[in-house]
Amino acid sequence: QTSYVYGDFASPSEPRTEGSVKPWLQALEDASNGTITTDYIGAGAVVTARNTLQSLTDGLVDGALVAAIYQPSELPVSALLVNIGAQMTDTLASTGALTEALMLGCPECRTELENYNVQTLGSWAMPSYSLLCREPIQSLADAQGLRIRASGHMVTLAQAIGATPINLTITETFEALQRNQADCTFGSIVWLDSLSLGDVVRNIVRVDAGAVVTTSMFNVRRDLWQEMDEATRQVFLDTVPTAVANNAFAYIEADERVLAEGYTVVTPDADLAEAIRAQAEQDIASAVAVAQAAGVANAQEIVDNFLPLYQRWYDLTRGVETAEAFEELLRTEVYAHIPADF
Amino acid sequence: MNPELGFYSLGALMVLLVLRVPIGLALTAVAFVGLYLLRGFNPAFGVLKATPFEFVAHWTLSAVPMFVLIGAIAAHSGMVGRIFRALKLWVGWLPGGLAIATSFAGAGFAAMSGSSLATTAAMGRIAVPEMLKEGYQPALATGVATAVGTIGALIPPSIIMVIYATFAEVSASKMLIAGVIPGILTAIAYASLVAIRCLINPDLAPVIARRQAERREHLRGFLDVLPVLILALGITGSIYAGIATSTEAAGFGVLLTLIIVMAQRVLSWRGLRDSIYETTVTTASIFLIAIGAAMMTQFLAFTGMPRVLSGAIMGITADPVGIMLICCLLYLILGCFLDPMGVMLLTLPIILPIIDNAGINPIWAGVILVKMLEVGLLTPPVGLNCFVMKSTLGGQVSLGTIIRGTSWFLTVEAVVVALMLAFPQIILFLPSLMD
Amino acid sequence: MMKHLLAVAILPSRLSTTLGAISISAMALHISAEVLSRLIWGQSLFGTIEIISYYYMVAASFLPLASAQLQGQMISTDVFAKIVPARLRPVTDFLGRLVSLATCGMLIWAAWAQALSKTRVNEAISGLGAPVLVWPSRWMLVIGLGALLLAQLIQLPRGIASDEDAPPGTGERG
Ligand code: NA
Ligand code: NA
Repeated sequence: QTSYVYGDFASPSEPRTEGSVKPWLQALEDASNGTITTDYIGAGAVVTARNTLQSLTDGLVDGALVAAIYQPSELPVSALLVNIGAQMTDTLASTGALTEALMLGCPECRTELENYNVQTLGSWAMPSYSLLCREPIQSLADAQGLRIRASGHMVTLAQAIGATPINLTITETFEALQRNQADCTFGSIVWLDSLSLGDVVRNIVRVDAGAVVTTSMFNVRRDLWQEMDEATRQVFLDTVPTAVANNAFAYIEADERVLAEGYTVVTPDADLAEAIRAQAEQDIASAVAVAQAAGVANAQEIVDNFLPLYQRWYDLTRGVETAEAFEELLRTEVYAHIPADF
Repeated sequence: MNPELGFYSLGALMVLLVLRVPIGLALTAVAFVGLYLLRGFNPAFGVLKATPFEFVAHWTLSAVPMFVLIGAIAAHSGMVGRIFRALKLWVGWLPGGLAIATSFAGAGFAAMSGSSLATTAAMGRIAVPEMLKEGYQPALATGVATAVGTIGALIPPSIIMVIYATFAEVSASKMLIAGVIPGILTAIAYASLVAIRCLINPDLAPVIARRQAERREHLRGFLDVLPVLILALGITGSIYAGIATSTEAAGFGVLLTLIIVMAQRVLSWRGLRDSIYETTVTTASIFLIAIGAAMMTQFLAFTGMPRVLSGAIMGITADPVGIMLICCLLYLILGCFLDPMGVMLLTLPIILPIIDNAGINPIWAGVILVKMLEVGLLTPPVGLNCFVMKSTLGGQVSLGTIIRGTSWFLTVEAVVVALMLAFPQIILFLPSLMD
Repeated sequence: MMKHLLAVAILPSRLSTTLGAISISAMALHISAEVLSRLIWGQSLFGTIEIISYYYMVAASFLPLASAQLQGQMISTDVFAKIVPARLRPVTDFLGRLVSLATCGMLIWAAWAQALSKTRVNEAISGLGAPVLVWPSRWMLVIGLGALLLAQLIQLPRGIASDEDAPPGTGERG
């Protein structure tokens, strides 16, 4: 008999809640014939974005999304992947590549999570961020001098296109855009809906800024994992590919829903797109340097292994149109190769 | 999940309050023991390790000490005394005139302050000492100033409205504008209560004789009020002109206040020093309780108690007004023990789907729920606004007196909520203009 | 003897409250500087949100706790205590102070453990492009709560007057 509590800081309307996390918990109960019972405590009532890692370490919850962007000191290898997020412009490719790296290819990625009592089972990266703007920004010249709300790897991207990055919390972003304190924010298209940003900005400039990387979204705290019998662990491993695939598609579909709501969608001119790409390339070296300074000796090697993996998944997922097809791919490419002693 | 433990824990909390354990520490102790029983030592200890730091290390909360400081400086500079000299001249002769002025001053301050607690702290500093000096009954003086703080969360800017809008996926700007009329209505209702009570029982507030003032006096009154107008315009103006966010406007407001009192040469160094020290002690004692409430919220979420409680209540009716009445009752009960943010975080995941299914307008529901959350700031045993008033006034007035005075305004709140339930246009008229 | 003890307990409370007061002032100045910098030069200052959240707010919340205790500003509800018969009050109050002391002790232990582990990983959070160290701020909890514990210990045998009895406008009564 296993009791599994998943804590999340996402609001109930966040695509992952109904699209992936809750169905997964149901699937765990169904597939285990009642030997696994689950509880979902959402909306930040027990965990916040900043404390999920500690909550797993201490056993406050049994599973939770680890927002690596808030844990650069604790998870320097995950932070390295977060910092090269500008490379990950396709959500299926990055979700597949991150899951494979964490489960099979990158032992350093996994062990640093294990040191914090996290047995990771599946990863995720959001659909590529756009610039959500008050005015339609078309060219590099248009972007000159704009004030753009940016965080994480997008700070340098904002500087690269001649804008001034400004630092605002996510709850302040609405107000700042409304009152003309910010001209744009880097962000997910879903925010127009979920954060009501669509009330104040009507332009989506698709600059393909890459995504915020989540190295461990589906997981079990490691001490609980080690207490489980073989059959129970197998239930987790059998059901999680569906959840990973559903999650990626929940966000793809949410983006499509928003895009159908009549926003002005701008495809940027070549000079703007190139400025972003060029900076994204440069940022790899600084991400490696930051990781090395944080004690990740083989940071360069990790990146050199990951980027081809991303490309491989990019190619693999070109024909993938449904969550089922993506799930099948995850099963054959990743989960079929999990070692017996996982 | 163990709902019974949730109910027992509320009993344990009451016992600790009887032992006069400081509220913040009582909440912490109950949450820790509860989490230990439910999840074991490490998880419970982990919450003690993480939550205190994380709760206060929060940018938007910085508005609380900044608004406390503005009020403290205004009080020490004697600005308050001059404002009330003017107010006394103009409305002081009404029955309960200074308390009526407090209601409207609170509504005005609400347009600068994003939180109830900050509004209450400011009114506690500015209005209460003057009313006490004029011989107003302490319960009336502190009651009106404590209650008027709740308008802070109704009239924009309002942090809690924005958070509700995020959860319910409604437009934040509509949500904010929807609070304006209910906020003004609340101020009018408070003022009416004060006037009626003082007409019935003139001992509550000594009548200040109305006398024929000279033009010179009116001019001086206007000059006395001017700094406040400049401050209000400066703070709100800096927000609407896009110079500062509503969080920054609080800190920027401190600078404006300092410039004003320095221009008037009315603040001594000692006064400034005292203002700052008072602000630090007030801030720490408020945040210790908020931290305890945050941990209690984490623990209660684990018991599933709020879910059981709301599930039971929702089983009763399908009528929109009936559902909202039951939600109000639920918030009234939870609000007695928890902080507004905690109640909202615990219940929205259950309440929003019900509102959605019943076809209830989420903006209408949201403003009523925010109103009820604010009522929770006034109800004992955990009424944060009362605590803020208490810590603002120090030893001058007992907590019991504050709670007694505030309870009158709870009856007014019942009327205001009933009006909002009966006439949804009170809430929905302004947002409907935005389409 | 008691006099010396008092002095020993009040000194850390004074020092930490002064640091808290400095933080509050710095908060106001830093926010104003950020607003003016954006207004005049269109440029955010480095790490305003991070430094205010992780340093000034933490300092202002924990460092003055001992002063709040010594000034009788630590908020408790006297309303409920009235159900206890007057002659039992000293006993219940003493029990209550023991509970407070134990809770405060647990909080210090937890803050200490957290500060140690965050110091070990050199905890930082990213500001506009560059990291802001966070771990030093974790120790302010240990200092602030430690001073609070000391203040509570001093008050353990004697207790504090109920605020019903307190004369108006009392300052430090420790
Ligand atoms: Na307000
Ligand atoms: Na309450």
